[in-house]
Amino acid sequence: MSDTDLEQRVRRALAARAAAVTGQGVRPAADPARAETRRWWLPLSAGLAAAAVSILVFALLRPPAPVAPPVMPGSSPAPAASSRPTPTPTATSSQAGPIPSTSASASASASAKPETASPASTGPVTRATP
Amino acid sequence: MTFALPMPTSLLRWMRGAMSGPAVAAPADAPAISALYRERRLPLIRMAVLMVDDQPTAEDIVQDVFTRLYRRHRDDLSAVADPYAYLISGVMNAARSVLRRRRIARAYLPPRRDPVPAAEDQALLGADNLEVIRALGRLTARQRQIIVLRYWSDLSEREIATALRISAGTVKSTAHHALRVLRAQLGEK
Repeated sequence: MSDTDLEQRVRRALAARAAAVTGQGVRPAADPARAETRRWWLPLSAGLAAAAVSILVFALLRPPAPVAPPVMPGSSPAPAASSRPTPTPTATSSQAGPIPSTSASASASASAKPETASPASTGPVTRATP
Repeated sequence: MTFALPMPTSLLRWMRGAMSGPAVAAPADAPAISALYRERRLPLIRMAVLMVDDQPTAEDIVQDVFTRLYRRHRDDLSAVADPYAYLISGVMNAARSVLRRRRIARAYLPPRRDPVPAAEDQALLGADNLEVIRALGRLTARQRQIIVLRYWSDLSEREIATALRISAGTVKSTAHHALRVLRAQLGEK
């Protein structure tokens, strides 16, 4: 059989196979221009929905804020913590001792009387005699 | 907490157009993609069926190619020299990818018997045509592309070369080799 016969056979087979696909047998589909314009709102609404869900979850699962202790109506506010260091009465050296921490000095100043706690009333620190 | 909302491309394009002044109308002679879709969808599906032997896959291929064309050029196809050749090229490339994926999948799956053709297909095609179609299925993807474009689309060697982005010499030699393989498979001496 010649090339022409084989080519004719191929042509016939391809035409028959293509003719089996008809317009009625093809799935209906919208042309891309219409499909694209119809769905422009989809990503926008999906984003908004995701944002709303995230905010809702955050609001529901947020840990509760710590509750402040109730304040007595007639009580005065707590005395302010003095940042001045309290001199130690048993200091025997001219060199300054270790500076107490803020919390320690605050508690000390709160408990001690103002006269004794003031360094002016205690006078200068003198070298201890042996 | 910040959220990055996706902005629809059509909205962006509308904003760009509104800011840049009056819209420039597409040239009157440029074929709108909707008209092209109505005219060429069915022939392209037929061509894809000849390549992949599966109508739903062929429909998906054609729809994807039209969607890609629309996303790239919108309704103004004046930048495309020959929209139909562009579509043929897109369908052929997509069909070749499908065949390649099938071949890779087949390599990792246990061998199966060839599916028995439906009685409807046998009645419509006839035994002789069915034998030729089956023999076409055993060609390589490139050989099959060239046979389909040459004997069904009636494209010249130069047009096939342009559509597939290969040389005319490659088209000629591949077609010759494909016919030789077909002749051997169909038992013609």
